Amino acid sequence: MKTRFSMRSHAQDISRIAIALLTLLLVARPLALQPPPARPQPLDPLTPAERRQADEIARADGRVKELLGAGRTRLVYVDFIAIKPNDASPAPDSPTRPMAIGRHAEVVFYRYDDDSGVRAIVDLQTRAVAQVARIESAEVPLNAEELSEAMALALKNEAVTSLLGADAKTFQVGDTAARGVRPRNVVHALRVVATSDSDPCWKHRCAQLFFRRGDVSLTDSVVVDLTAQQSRVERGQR
Amino acid sequence: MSRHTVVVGLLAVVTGLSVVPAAEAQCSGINLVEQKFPVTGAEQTRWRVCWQEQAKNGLVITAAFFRTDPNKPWIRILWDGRISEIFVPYHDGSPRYYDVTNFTFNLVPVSAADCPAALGGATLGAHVCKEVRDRGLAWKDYGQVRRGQELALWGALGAGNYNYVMEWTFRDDGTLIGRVGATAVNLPSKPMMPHVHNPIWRLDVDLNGFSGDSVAFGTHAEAGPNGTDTEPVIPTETGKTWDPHAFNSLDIMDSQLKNGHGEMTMYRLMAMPTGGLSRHQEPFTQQDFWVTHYDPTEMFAKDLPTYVSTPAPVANADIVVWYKGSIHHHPRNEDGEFVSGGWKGEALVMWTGFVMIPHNLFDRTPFVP
Repeated sequence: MKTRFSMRSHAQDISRIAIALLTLLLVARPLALQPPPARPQPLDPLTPAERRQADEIARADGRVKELLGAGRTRLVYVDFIAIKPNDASPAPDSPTRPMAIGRHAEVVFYRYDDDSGVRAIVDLQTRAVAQVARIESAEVPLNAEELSEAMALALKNEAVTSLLGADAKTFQVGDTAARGVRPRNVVHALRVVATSDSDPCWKHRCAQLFFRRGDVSLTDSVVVDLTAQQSRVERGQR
Repeated sequence: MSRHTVVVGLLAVVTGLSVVPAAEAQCSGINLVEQKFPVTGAEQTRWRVCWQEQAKNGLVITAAFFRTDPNKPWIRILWDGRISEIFVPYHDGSPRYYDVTNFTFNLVPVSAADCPAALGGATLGAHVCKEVRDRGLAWKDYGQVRRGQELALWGALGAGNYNYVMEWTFRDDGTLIGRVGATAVNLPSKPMMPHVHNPIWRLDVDLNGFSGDSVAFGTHAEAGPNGTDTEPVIPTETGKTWDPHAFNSLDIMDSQLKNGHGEMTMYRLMAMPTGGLSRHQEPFTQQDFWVTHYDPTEMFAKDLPTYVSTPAPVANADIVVWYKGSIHHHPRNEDGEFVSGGWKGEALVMWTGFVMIPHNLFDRTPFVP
């Protein structure tokens, strides 16, 4: 009798679990197929909205404004940065017991008038600039926008259009990462950092453009001075 | 195991949901990679890694945890790992490129051809490949053998004419490897000019959390028939030279992290050069290893001599270690040829890197019966 009762009870348990499972499955499966929640995890990349927000917060900050001055400036990049909390607990963290680090962005600007940069760390949770510092030119990278401008400037130079020939205007700035397809005519750029004051790029923002037509790269290149808005052809190895 | 656990576990399996609640994962979607080893069968070890693609630095590891056993706690290994710089001086003195900090280069696209599924590959988004692969022999003893496995994440930074393959490998035995491979096309204006690519890794190693870490400088010496190994703790921020005859290493430990035998757990950072390590006139290239105190503003390898100029204590502290590798590229006919008005080139991949090998992380190896 006891055994029979136990068996019935066990069978009832199984059927209850099965019904619960099916119910949960019906509820959970659509949830699982939904896109991830809009709120990013602490170590997820910045969202486009967070990037815009970081730029806005940085530009509105009085210290950033002061360091940027009144001359020509440029936003170079906004990217994720993880900042460790100040009140570091000696207790080890783990994936299942993460420390609270908030969300931060690094925002870097360039100022042309004195060839320097401004780096701001933006706390996206408090919507405030946590740190701001002037940085040297070497720590301010060229960005894709500047390379496009460099190419446009270069194409105003007859020596450049003569070098490139009839298809000069078909060269595309070589950030193929975004497009995934390599165009036939590509221009890559590398930064010129002058090492002496006899170089026209001394304390100027300069890029050297290299041109690739199909599988062949031109050995001649073009140096564009984005500060002086000038360009010149440089002869390469033959 | 409670009935609740069984039901939740079953539900997770049935629905394909991760058993890691999102709120506890720290990162999500393609930026979270978790891999157990062995790949099939019962778990012995497991990595959990967060990564990001960042302008400038390319493929950045934003967290790495390792578990030596399904029933053991996770151990944080990395807070952040990145290639801080790739310095490229040409033999004729100019140019001298800083390929990471001078540009906001991006990772280039990867496809199934880069990352074949048949070889354990899977693309993570458009620019990163995940490979789970055999790593060759882990152990052999006459008729007994154990092959190892590893998880590798890689992407290639599109640095003008060059592509830099940035690879992070997480092995089943807790070993972590970083490599950079230089490839694509030589500098078009001087394609046959020898040059050196020097990647400098910034490794924010936080064993068991970020406080209480120390770094010892491992050195081997021979005197007559006897060998000695010393590991003095590095007291303050400094740079160190790697001597291949001394097997120098940076041995990173945490004051609280010990294995089941009560032995101090260490991660031993060792050079994995191809041919050698370069020196250039720039002061930051005069050392191979550096140890600094954590400072979120100290991200630039070229400033390392400045960072250590007023040396802060780094014993029992929150430390960052740096390692400079070198790829000495002496162009050859296989690099390409001059054609009418230009250079048709194909620089085949050359590698350099480092390895971080655990020491007393396990009580005994779990891979051999």
